[in-house]
Formats: sequence, C-alpha cells, structure tokens
Amino acid sequence: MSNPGNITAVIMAAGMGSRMTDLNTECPKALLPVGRYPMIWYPIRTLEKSGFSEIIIITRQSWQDQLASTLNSGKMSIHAKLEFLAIPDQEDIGTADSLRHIADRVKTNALVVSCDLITDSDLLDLMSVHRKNNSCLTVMLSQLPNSLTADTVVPGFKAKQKSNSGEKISIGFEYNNLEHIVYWKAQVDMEDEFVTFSKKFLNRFPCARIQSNWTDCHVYLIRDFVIKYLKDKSDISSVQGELVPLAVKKQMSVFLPILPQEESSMASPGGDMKVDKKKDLIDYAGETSNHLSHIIQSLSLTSPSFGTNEDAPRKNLIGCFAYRQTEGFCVRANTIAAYAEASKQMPRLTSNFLPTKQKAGPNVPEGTVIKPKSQVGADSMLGENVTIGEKVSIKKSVLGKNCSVGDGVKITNSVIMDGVSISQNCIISNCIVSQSAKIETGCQLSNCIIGDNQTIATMSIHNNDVLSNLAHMMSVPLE
Amino acid sequence: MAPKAKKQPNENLKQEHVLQAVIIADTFNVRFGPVTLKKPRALLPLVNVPLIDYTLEALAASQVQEVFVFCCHLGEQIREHIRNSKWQDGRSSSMTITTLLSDSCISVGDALREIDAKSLIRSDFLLITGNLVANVNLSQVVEEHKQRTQGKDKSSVMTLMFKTAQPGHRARCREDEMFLLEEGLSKRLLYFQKSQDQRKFPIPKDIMLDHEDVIVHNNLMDCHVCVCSPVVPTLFTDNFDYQTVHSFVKGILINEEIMGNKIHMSIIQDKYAARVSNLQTYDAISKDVICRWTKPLVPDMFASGHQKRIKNGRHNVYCSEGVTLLRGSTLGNNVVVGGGTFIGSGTVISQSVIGQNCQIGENVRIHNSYLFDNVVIESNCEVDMSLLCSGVRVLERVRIGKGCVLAWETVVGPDVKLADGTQLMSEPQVDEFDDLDMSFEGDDKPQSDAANSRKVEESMDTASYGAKCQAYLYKPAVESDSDEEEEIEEEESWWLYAADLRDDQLDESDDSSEEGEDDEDDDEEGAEGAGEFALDSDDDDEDGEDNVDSSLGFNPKACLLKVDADFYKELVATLARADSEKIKEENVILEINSLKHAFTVPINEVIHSLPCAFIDLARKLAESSGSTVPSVLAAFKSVASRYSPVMCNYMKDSESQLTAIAGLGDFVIKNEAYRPRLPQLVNILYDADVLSEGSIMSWYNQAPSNTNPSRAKCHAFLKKLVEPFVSWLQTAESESSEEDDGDEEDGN
Repeated sequence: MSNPGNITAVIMAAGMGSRMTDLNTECPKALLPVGRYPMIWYPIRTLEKSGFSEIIIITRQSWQDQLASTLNSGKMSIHAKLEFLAIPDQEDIGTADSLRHIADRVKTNALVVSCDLITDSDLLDLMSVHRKNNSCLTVMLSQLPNSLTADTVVPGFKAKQKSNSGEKISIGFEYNNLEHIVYWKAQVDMEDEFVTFSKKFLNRFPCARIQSNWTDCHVYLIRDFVIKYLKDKSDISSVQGELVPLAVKKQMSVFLPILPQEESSMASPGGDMKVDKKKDLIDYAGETSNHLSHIIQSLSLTSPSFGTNEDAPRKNLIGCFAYRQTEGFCVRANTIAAYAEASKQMPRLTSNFLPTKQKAGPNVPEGTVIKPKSQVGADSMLGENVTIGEKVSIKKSVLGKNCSVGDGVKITNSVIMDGVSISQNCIISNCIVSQSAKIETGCQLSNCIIGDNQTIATMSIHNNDVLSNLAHMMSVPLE
Repeated sequence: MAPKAKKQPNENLKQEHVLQAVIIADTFNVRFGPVTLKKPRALLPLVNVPLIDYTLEALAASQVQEVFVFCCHLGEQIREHIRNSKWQDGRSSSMTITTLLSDSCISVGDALREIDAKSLIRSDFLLITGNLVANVNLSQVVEEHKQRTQGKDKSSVMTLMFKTAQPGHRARCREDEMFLLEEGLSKRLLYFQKSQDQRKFPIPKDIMLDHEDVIVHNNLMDCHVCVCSPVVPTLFTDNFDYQTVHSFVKGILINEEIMGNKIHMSIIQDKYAARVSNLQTYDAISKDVICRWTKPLVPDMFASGHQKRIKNGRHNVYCSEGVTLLRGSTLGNNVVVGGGTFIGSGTVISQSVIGQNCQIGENVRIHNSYLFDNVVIESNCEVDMSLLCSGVRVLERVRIGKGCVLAWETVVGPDVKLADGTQLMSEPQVDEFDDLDMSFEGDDKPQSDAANSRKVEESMDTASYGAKCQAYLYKPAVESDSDEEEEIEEEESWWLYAADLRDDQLDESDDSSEEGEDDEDDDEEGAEGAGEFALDSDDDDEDGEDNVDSSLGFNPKACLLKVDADFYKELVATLARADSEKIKEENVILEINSLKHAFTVPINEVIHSLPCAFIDLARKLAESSGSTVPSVLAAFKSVASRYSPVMCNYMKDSESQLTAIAGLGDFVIKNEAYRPRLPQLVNILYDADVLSEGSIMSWYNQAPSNTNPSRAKCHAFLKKLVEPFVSWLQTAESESSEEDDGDEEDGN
C-alpha cells in the first residue's frame, strides 16, 4: 500500500440520501452533480490531495457499474486506484454496518469518508491529530458556513424545512486540550428532563467544554482494533450515532489484563461475579498495546499521563479526538440546503480540488454562445454547450451541460443541472432544477425544486414547491 | 457601634472611586469544634498570624479603601484585634475599617440584610469571608464586574471568584465541593450544585439545548469572594429565604427568566486564593503558606506587626528571633517556630507550626501539627497530626494520636495515649449555641449531654487523659436543621486526608471480627420470636459501660441507638398488617408517619428502625419455611423490592441513608447469626435502589466517632463485615456506570 501512514481510505457511497429525496430520484446520491463534477468526485480528490493512491468505495450493487463508469472516464482526472465493494441492494444498512461488511478487507487503520463531504481542507491535519494523541478514533468536526447557519430559505416545501437543530450534537472537549473529545451526545437523544453527569466523569475530566455548534463531517480515522471490535459487535449500526458515543464513553474504562491462567475472555473485574462478560472495547485496545508500549507511555514526557500513577497508561488506552476544522470550506452535502450551498460555492472553489498542474476551466467555458446584452456573473458557472439568449442575467448560479437559456431569463441563486431548457422571460430564483427539465415561457419560480424531465407549463408561478413526478417520488422511501 | 463612620464631605464626587468590601468574619458553623468556642475563627493563628490579617492584607493589596467587618460570634475580640492592629493607626494604610457587631445574625443573609438596613453600600463591593488567604488582586475581579455591568450585561448582579483546583486537591474543602456550568464566552454562571456525596449530577437539559458553548466545571473551589452590585443587599432584604451566598446564587439562577438578574464568574489560575473553612483546609493552607505559594503572604515577609523578625532557612524552616534550640534538636522540612520558644534537646519537629513562647521538652517528636502560642509540651511526648491551642499543657510521656484537637488551656498527661481524633477542652461543655436546634440529634443523645458529660467525664477523665489532666471531651453538635442550604455538618476528620495515614486505625478490632466471621451458620435463629429483633432499650448507658461482648471486642449497648421498643413493636405490626392486607405503599407511608407522631419519635429513629422492621417482616413471612437465615434473606429481598418506594420515601438523602445503614449495623450486632450476612442485607437494599452507592461508600469511609471509643470500634467491626461488598462495589464501579450506558447504547 502506498497510502500515507498505511491507512486504508474508505468512501461510503451506499447511502440513500434520505434527507434529500426530492433530488436523487434518478441517480445515486453520490453522482448528483455539484458544479461540474459528481458529488463523490470531491472526497476522492480530497483524499488524493492528501496522498492517498488507493481508495475503497463502498456502494450498492446496482450503482456499482454506474459509479465505476462515471469515475473512470478520463475527464475526471482521478489517478488513484479505485476499488468498488458492493453491498446488497435490499439491505438498508447504516454506516457501521457497511464498515463491518468490509472489515475483512481492512487490516490497518481506516480513514472513513462520506461521499457527500465537500471540503478543501487537508486531511493530513486530521491524521496529525490522530497520531499526536495516539487516538483510537479521530473525528473531523467543522462549524457550518455562515450562509448555512443563517436562516436561509431552502428550496422545497416549507413544511420540510426543519431546521437542522434536531441533528445537533453536544460534544464535550477537555478544557485544556480541545482536541480531546470527552462527551458526545446527540441532542435528540436527550429524552429526559435532565442530562446526567457521573462523578466519575467529572473527576476524570474535571473541566469539559461542551459545545453544540460543531457538525460531524463524517470523516473518521479509526484504529484497527476498533474495526475488529465493530466486526464482532453486530448491534452497532451507525458510526456517528453509536460507535463514536460508545468509544467516547469507553475512554473511562480501565484495562484489566487477562490473567494468564484464564485464557478465555475473562477480563472481568469481580472475578466470578460476571464470568459471562463480553469482550469490551478496552480489551481490544489492551490486546494491541503490549508491555513495552506501557513503558513508553509512562516514560513519555508528552503523554498525558506523565507524572501520574503507574496505572495511568492502562486508563488512557482509548482516546477519542477531534480535528476541529476552522479554515476553508467544509460542508456535508446531505441536505438540500447543504447541497445547494455546496453547488453555489463551486465557481469559487473548483480549482482547489483539481491537481495543481491542471487549471480549472473558466467558469464560462470557451465556445459558449452568449448573445449580446447578457450577463453571467463571476460568481456563476456554466457547463459545456450552454446557449444563452439575449438580455439574460445569471447570478450566483450553476448551470450544467447542454442547457439552453432563452431571451430575457433571469436566474439567481439557483442550481440548474444538465440538459435543462429554459424558455424566454423566465425568472428563476433560489431553485434547484434537475436534469432535462423544461421550463416554458414566462414562468416565475422561486424556492422550488424541479424534478427530472419535468415540464413546467407556460406562465406558471410557483413558490416553495416541489414539482416532480409524485408517484415516482413516493416510491423512493418504500424501496 | 463602630468608632469610625465619618462620612467624607465630598463623598458624592468620589463615589465611584471608593472600593468597598464587606468581610463576614463569622462562618456560622462549628467546623473547628472546640477551638472556636473561645476565639472566633477569624482570629485563629494561621502560621502564627491571625487569619483575618491575611484577609485584610489581601484587601489592602487590592486597593480596597473601605472595609466593613461584620462579626457575630465573639465579635468583641475581633473589634479589639482590629483596633490594635496596624490598620487603625492611619499611617500604614489608607484603608478604613469599620467593625459591625451583631448578635442576632445567624447567616450571611442576615448580615447582608443588616448592611442593607444601614445602607452602607454605595457601589459595587467585595463580599468575602474573614478566612480568606489570597495573593490575587481582587480589584481586577471588581474591574471585570464593572466592565460587565457598564457594558453589555447590565443585569449581572454578582461575579463569583473561583480558583482552579483539580479534584482531590488538598485545599478543596470537602464540605464545599461543587459542580457548576459556565457559559463559554460570556462567563455566565448557568447552573450551580453542591456535589458532596453525589454520584450523579442531573442538569436540566434545556441548559444544554439553549447554549452552544457550556463549560462543565468540577475543577474549581469556591473562594467565597463575590463582587456584588449594590443591589445585592436589597435582594437579600427582599427575599428572606436567602441565607447563604449559595442559596442566593441558586435563587437568582432559578428566577433568572423572571427577574433578569445574572451571575457571572471569574476563574483565577495562576494566583493563590483559598479559604480556611475546616481543619483539613487549615492544614492544607498552612502548608501552602509555609511553602510560599501565597507569597508575599509568607512568614518572613508578612507578620502582624508586633512580631519579631523571622528568618527563612533552607527547606522552609522559619525561625523567629529569640528561639532557643538546644543541642541535638532537629527541625525538619516546613517548620515555623515563633519567637521566645524553647526547644529541648533530642526533639524532632517536622511539617509543623509552633507558636510563640512555647516550651518543648526533650525527646519530643512533633509531626504535622499546629501549636498555638504558650503551649507546653513536656519531655518524651509524641504529637502527630494534631492541633494544640494556646495554653495547652501536655505532660510527660503523652502520645497524642492523629486528628486530636486540644482546645484552650487543656492539660493532659502524664503517661497517657490519646486516641485518634479526640477533641478535648478545658471546661465541661456548655450548650452555648442556644440558637442551634439540638433536640433532634440522633446518635449522640444530646439532651442529657451537658448534664451527663460532667458526671461521666469526671469519673473517667484521669483514666483516659492522665492523672493531672484538665480535660473534657468535646462532643460536636450536629446541626439537624433541615434547611437544605444549611452547611451540612459532617464529622469530617481532617487528618484522614493527609498523606501518610490510614494504616493502623483498625488494628484493635481486626481479630475480633474474624471471630465473628467464623461463627456464622444458621443454628439458633429458629427459636427466637419475632419481636426479638427489637432491642431492649431500658438499660442505661453507664452501667453497660464495662460489659464488653467477647465476640465483638466492645460493648454493644454503648453504641446502639436507643429505639423506643413500643414504637418498634407497633411498626413491625403495622408492616405485617400492611403486608397481609395488601395496603398501598402511599398508605403505608401515612401509617408510619402517624405512628411516628403517636409515639413522638424523631424521624431518624424511624429511619433507623425501618430496615430492621422489614427484616422482621421478612422473618414472619419466612416462618413457614422455618425462618432459617437464607429463607429470611430471600423473603427480605422480595419485601425490599416490594416496599422500596416506602423505604425510599424515608431514605431520600445521604444523611438518612447513613442512618438506615447504621440501623442495619445495629441489627446485626444484636443478631449474631446475621453478622456475616450484613453484606447481603446491604446488597439487597442497594439492589432495591434504597441505598445509593455513594452513601454506602460514605458510611464505609466515615470517620470513627471520636467521642465514643466503643462506637468507633463498632463501626470498624461493621466495616470489616461489609468489606467484601464494598470492595465489590469499588471494582464494579469502574465498570458499572459505563456498563449501564453501554447497554442503553446496545439497545438502540
């Protein structure tokens, strides 16, 4: 393997995109266009930029060919060796399940990235945090871009526009080392009136800073023993929801070495009282660290347990840390709002993802036919073969390939996918228009989502609508 | 009233610049035991300087201009001290000190109400206690508060100052442990909870949902320094529920949305600030002063004026002028010796503070101890981890065990050994805290205290404390005021926390408890009747004194709580009836309550009897199967789980749970066959969620009572019995908390 740090890179592309069903009716979520490239292209490029040359992509069987053909086409400028591992279509499985599925394939530490991660920050920083702290699970956290946290109007039904506060996570960091995660609880899980801290927690981490303004970017650097644990523990199905909180909690456990005469998994305290105790995460951790590493830990000046009692290395076998990304752009395009935001950033950011030698094409490709008196703002991007009529104004928008825009059309703040034709005098603002849609003369659309192959009749006016083939849409959640 | 209350003519112009401070020179508790009976705590010497001088010095260094010293208990002495101090001569400081005396105040709240009534406060002021040792510049905290109130947070009424101290830090007062939440950026205090003896800290989840950045602090100690807005005394006046600053803080936080008042906090990291709040912190802070953490408040740079120059030697040995050290005497690390003291040859002193004009004989060993002025220790004595007040005389060949406190003018010896934790005073104890409600005392039987102690002690004096002694045992008064904000007076033995101890305290009871373990087995219990578990309570304590049970190594009668036999019988009958008639739990509680009133027994006696009564009930239920110990235990298990709501109703807090455990202890002492089963009994109640792990542990770690040697032995004996269970608890503890949570996780 020639990946940095002998880390296996895994991209999770098996998700259904359940938070943006209005969009991904036709193509897999991973292939939704963001700017000029499909969504999954961005995490691949991010990995490549950090030096990864072999990448495993977990996807669904039915999507595998489509993904492979799209990504392996020469235009994508991907150099890494991509290996597709498919999971059966019918299973509705979580991220941890996917990982378990390929656990045999992963012998080393793994860097798990979601296919909807769009970031221009360097994953090497995350790996440094991991190595510096001897972490067993490192998570990338980021603060949402301002444009998302503010009350932006999201295209689509208003009823669906729940704020993402439901997904907020209260994450506790050790006060003196903010990289160290000591507490992790999704706010939706706080069912009771009270949130309880134990004395033991407070004594172990006397000062914890609990913040809920971080989003989990779904980038996890996971130590090999955690994957082994995950493999044996089949009831964990989600990384963010279950594995991470569990690992954070298990930081408090103390490794009790297995007595030599008892070869079985009897690492339980209290001897005969709990013979049937299952192997716990700490036992996996303990097995990987041998006597020498204990000595190293206890002698190391930089180890957190320096100067404390001898037992400390046994306590610090599990550590969960965070790379708190603050600079650059980072968003998970897993909601419509985030997807729209990511798309609109692409005119500015595409060049960050391309190899340094390769220049990004201009936002308006050469050969685009633009008739006089039309304006395409610098904050907009057009695909190939776009034709634009007279007196057209395009601002803060992204247009796909083969679109045609008629005279007098105004497009602001919108994402127009490939092959869309927009007739004269339409006004489109804050919309997402899917592939091959037809918008006829004089439509006024704002805050709308237009589905694949839809035709919008002349002079229609829509606000906060989802215009797509309803029957087709309904079938998605049932799959 | 105080002599100095002149108002300056141009007061209005200068108003903003005068920094005021209020010192509450009374702590309204008796944590120092006999020591503060004769001298207010603010005047106790800490490293040979009265405590309040540290506080005043800290204020002077912080440019405080006007100080009000509020004194209650023995306030005359404080006024006298201040009148004679360097602060009043006007030359050495520009700080004006006004002493306010009040006899009627029993809390900080009262003091502030009185200050409000006198309208002494003109602007933001510092509220501190008279036992603060600090080298931090308090005016910075005031400045911080001012900026906040004049800036964005006008509604901030108070800024509390905290000092970082990791859990287990020696200067952290275990009675004042707390847990709080701070809002990250604004430094606003969101939640405040005293955390003594708690294992779980539930906080309202809204705090977590509403604030994006919350800091959870368990690394702070409260310095009891608050910067208050002028409105604070008024708020105290408006609400008579506010007794302490803590209750005020809680009240403000609860009413935050209604009143709009906020409280902020300020954390000091690099400077020193700590409060002498009990003997354990007295010890810790003394050591800190000697080790110069409090510089410039260290012995050689800071003395209360009339003292002689102090020389600072290596290893933190400080000797005043005029100290006589005979050949062959040794001063180890961290020793302070006051002027005029004589130390005989062959004497070894380490980690100690010796006052002025002390006489220490030959071959004396003093370790980790504090001697005030004019203490006489004759030859061949040993003093370890003890506090000896002024005028104490220790005659020849006396060994003073750990944790002893000898109050003013006490004389002990010759040729005796004082048990660990003995607290003595030179006069018989008089109940001078008439404002403390003593009638509800549990284990100590206080009603007869004053009368008995004189009679009893006089006869046993010389045996325990030496032929020429002048010493009476001090019995700590337990405040049973149920007000939750009242400082819980726990018999905390300070010396247990010092580093090197804990080894030999159980030695005497060791062998005896082994015997107890041997004769387990289920032989004789079938014969006993149901009422047998109730104890015959009509024996007198006195005549049972010598009546030592051979298998226990102590006299059981001397240490059991007397229970009203009639009440107990009726209680068992009620429970039996309730069980047979399947009466609902709420009604059982009502019946027990009415019994309590009918027999006028105090609540802790009810709690004490409940576990026993339930065991009795179990025994009745198990009669069919012959009332063998295992069957009774099985029956008790089901009874306990069925009636756990009833028991929980009475054993809500740790104090009552301790009483219940003590009840179990008394039960097994009376019923020998159950002695080895004590762990199971405790476990059953633990499983039924009646007893919390925390209270079991705190019972287990409770210091043996120093007032009653028999009880101490009894406690040690019981401890030995429960040991297997406790050690299981301790090992399980590391797993259990997360195990529970882990299971939750797995279930998802």
